[in-house]
Amino acid sequence: MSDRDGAFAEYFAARSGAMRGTAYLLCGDWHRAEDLVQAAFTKLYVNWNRVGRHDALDPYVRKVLIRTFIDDGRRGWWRRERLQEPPVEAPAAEHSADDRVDLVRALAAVPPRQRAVLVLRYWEDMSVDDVAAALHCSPGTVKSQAARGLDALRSLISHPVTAE
Amino acid sequence: MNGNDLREALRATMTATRTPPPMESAAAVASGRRAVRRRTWTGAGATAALVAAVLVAGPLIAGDRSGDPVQAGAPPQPTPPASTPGVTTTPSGAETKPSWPLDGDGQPQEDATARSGERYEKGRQLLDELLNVVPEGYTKPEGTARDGIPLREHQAAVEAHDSWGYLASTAVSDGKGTGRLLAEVHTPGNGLSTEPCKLAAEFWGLGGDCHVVRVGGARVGVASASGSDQRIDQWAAYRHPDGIVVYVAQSRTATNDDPGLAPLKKLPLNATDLAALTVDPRFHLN
Repeated sequence: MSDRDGAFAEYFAARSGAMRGTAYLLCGDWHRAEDLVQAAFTKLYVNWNRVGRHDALDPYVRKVLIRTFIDDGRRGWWRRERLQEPPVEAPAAEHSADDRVDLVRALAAVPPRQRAVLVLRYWEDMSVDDVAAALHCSPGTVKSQAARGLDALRSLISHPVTAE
Repeated sequence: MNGNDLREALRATMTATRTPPPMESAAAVASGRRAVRRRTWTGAGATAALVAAVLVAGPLIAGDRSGDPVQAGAPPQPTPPASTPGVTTTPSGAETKPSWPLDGDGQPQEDATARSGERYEKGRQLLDELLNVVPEGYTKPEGTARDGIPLREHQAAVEAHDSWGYLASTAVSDGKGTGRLLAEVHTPGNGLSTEPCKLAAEFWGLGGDCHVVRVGGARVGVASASGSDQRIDQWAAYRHPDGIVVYVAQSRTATNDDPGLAPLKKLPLNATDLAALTVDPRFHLN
């Protein structure tokens, strides 16, 4: 195993779980979450020498993951190719399971960019400026998208969406 | 549900959700190697075709296709794992729940953004003033870009130390391309720098290459994008004596990710005009 492989594998083992959690909240599906993580880390591997030198691995992977998620949504490949799969998996524990399903399902119904802002701001706890840099938009847009996303979420939770 | 409620709900959801087994590092390495091999092969293939055309040679050596390009210098080290969002590190909602100012309806705001009332109207006023300074020859498109970002927008949000920030942006089109003008005003107590170029560097944390432009007696920082962050091409920053900070910015692109809108070839304003707008009393909003 080369030096790159070793360092990459170590980083993957340390961070892929957290990235997969973020991806799951973005897309509401563990299979697709793993696809997104795989795509992001593959790109990292290809650009390892360039990115690794700048101590910017997490922001880089997160940015690729988010962009892949948004671009896939724009192309609609997921909707076409995985039409038969349920959009959300049921949580393990039984108590309060409905609430959790509702939250993930409601989140999945929020427009992708707003959803990305909500997940980065409130799950990843990233600052407005960092979210803006990750999404390549203005901090003001992050704030407005967060406000709209929360509005949408409130509405969806008070009027639950029906799974297709 | 506000931001704090969502933060807690996400933690609770992820704590209770059954996660699949960890992903395999070996599979990730293999996938990365395949991607490198494809890239190496593509480059090598093009080179081989060129060589073949010149030499009409026999078997060609397409270079190292091991997937491990020679590394210059020491191998990169992974950054320490960043703090993973987790229940244990999250203060309880009761401790962190912010109290928001009253909105126009007399009820506390849902979050930092005003949705009605005096502050909301200040944001709208900023947009009106921004639309008034769009140079002749440019239209001001409305609607929403394909990436979901409005082409015209205003906002008022409470910031640290009870300072308020007003933001307005509008797309501007010369008929061939579409770019954007923005104005951002921060009321006193904003904690922003007093030095013009430091002030400019603080805009969206962009840094940039800055020089000072004099507008009458005022010293305005005018900065241009540098490095990889190209969200804004040029911006000016001025701090009024009373502490109000005004940024005016412009970019060749209307939104950052919409591939459907061609960018402007030329920025709408020159540096002097941009600087003058930051001092303009129309943008001096408290």
